[in-house]
Amino acid sequence: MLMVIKETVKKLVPTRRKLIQLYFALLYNANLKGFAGGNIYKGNSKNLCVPGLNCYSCPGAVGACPLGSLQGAFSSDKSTVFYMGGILVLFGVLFGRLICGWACPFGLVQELFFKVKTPKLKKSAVTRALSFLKYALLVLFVFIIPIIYALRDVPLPAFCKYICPAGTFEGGIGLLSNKINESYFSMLGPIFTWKFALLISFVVGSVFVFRLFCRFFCPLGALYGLFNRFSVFGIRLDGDKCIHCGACVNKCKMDVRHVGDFECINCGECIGTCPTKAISWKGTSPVLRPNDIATDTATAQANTKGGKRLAVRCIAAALMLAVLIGAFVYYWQDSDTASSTDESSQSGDAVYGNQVGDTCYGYELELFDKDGITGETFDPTATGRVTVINFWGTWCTPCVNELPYFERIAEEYGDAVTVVAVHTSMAFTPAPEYVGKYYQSSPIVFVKDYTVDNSEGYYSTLGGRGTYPYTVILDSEGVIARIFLSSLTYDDLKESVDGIIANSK
Amino acid sequence: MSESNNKGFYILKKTIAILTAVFTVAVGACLISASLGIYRGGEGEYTRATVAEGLDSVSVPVYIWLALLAAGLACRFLAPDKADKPQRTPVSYRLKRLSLSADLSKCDIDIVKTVEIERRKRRIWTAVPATVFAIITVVYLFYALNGANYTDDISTSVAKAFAVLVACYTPFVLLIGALYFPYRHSMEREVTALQKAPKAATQAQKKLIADKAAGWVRLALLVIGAVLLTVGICMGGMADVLTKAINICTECVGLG
Repeated sequence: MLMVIKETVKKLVPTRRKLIQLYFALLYNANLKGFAGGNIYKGNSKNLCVPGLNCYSCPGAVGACPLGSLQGAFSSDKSTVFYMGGILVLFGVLFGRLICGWACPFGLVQELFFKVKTPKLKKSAVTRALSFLKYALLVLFVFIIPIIYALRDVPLPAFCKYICPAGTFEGGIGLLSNKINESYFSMLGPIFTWKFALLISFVVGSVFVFRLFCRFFCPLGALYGLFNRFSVFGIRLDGDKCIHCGACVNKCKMDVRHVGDFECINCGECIGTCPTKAISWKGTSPVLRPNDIATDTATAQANTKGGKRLAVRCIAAALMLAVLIGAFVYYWQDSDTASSTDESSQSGDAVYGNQVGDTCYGYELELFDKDGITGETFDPTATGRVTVINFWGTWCTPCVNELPYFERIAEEYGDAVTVVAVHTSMAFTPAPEYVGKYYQSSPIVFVKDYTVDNSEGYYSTLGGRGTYPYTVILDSEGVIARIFLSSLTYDDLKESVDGIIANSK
Repeated sequence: MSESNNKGFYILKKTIAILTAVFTVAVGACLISASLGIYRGGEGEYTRATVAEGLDSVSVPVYIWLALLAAGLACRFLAPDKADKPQRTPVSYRLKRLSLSADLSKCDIDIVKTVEIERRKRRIWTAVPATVFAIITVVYLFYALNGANYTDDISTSVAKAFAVLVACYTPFVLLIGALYFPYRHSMEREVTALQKAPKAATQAQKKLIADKAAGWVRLALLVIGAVLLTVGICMGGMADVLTKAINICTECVGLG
């Protein structure tokens, strides 16, 4: 009985790989202040991509997502395409799918759900065939669709928007679970319903199928898998020692045809099964036990517990822990997590603030047209009429989709309403050309926001918390009458404007 | 522990595993149906209150599921997991091993003929689906790369593109499925034939991986990656990545 308990406890203790997966999941999401404050990190570390699938809209995320950034790159400047191309090629050629096996948070979530004791679906020729679906998703959702729409100046990260469960889980649910973001519930609609259903399906499926999402749907794994054969680190099969017994393939839960192929996530679980020790790690012998049979005393001593390798591992573990704790402390103290600026101030009879009923803060924003900044400024609160202030960006799909409705409102209401479109100061470069191409003779007033510490100044002052599009409607006295957190239809806008005009009379 | 007790615990473990599977699916279905129910309730129906109500409706299956997990864990302590059944070497591996070790020059003519026929058959069974795959891919790309198929109604266009993908490749998958069993039987017939062949004096050692070529490709990719990254950074590519990473793409995280 004691033996049974010992064996069971041994199986329940997390393996080294699980601990390293957990480590990376925590490191990628080290911004604990984001979870507490319900907002995302806006600091400079988000210039860099983390190697695994980790949504950058997660409150804790401290780096960008490689897949989301790649899709976004197609609607940006070509410099971004080079940058993302370089990052992905380097990650792939250095680590291949070692990232999937050791450094992907969503992979960890799936493996934990797989531990639930239920009947499991074994791999077969069907699962092997299904594993090619992720290449189709990579080509269609990550390349073809984003590129086609980018050529029409509509940024569309198709995989993120329609499929990615990591975004729904870490970003959507991560933000919604904080009470501060109660207003975000008003944004939920068909996309959330679809993506939530997809997320639940993947999670439930992971209980029965090992790494369901990774094997059949993940385009990032598909991309890294192409580099697996050439990666610097990972699993290596010595063809001279291999006797083709198939023990490694039988042990592996992924749809590999042989160890180290494009389906292999380099987890290393096959290493111990090889009778001829033909499987080993590439490029990692300083910190991992070699797989060769000890043929001399020196190697045998190095393999013992008291040897050099144990010391190296302890030092590595201590360093890694120091980095993680350092990251937690650094990001907790960093002020680059946006927080709600629900502050108001009194000036005479007016209560200035960013809530409905407050008098809106004014600011002289720079006007721009197709030729760029004109040198003139414009204060949205000084119009003396109903003013619709829309915060947008050419990089934001719903923003560009709803701009025509704002133009229609501006044309229909003429002098009764002023529509001001405030473009983000960051990624501003394509904005003048975009406005010149589609809104050259539009009555919309186009202005550029100003930057304050990686944040959009006027947007933050008016209560924006990082979500785009964001619309604030003022009455004729400059008092905030309505605030919209998500994209609008023409009918929503018309109804609001009509109501505010009627109240003003 | 007596054998009958062990058997009893194994049956209990199996029952708990099946019940856990059923309740896992039930919890998932309840969650999806709760969100559909809220969505169908009309625009603006997603509020903290309605979501809490939806989660309440799932609470009972969730508690039962958690109880089953705990029971399953307790059973693992009382009865050890059975050892994995020994697995048979995949037929492709057995064929590979025999192909390398058999000396066909010293075989009976019948064995050589059988091997040649089976290999020719499999070459055809590989060529046909490969050709079908290439044709379907070209046809699909004509659709997928045609801008006219992508309208301003983005969601419908994307859904259509995916539906056409599935429709195009389903016949290919069915073809693979149809050819799988004859392909496998062909390999087994060749294995049976090669088992009768005498062993070669020295085994042909063919490296599975062409290490030298892989090394050059690795070096080239490292250089390409480094160059792309450097050019991208110098041209200011990081700024756009930062912009998208610090602003919440609401529809990307399902807030839409």
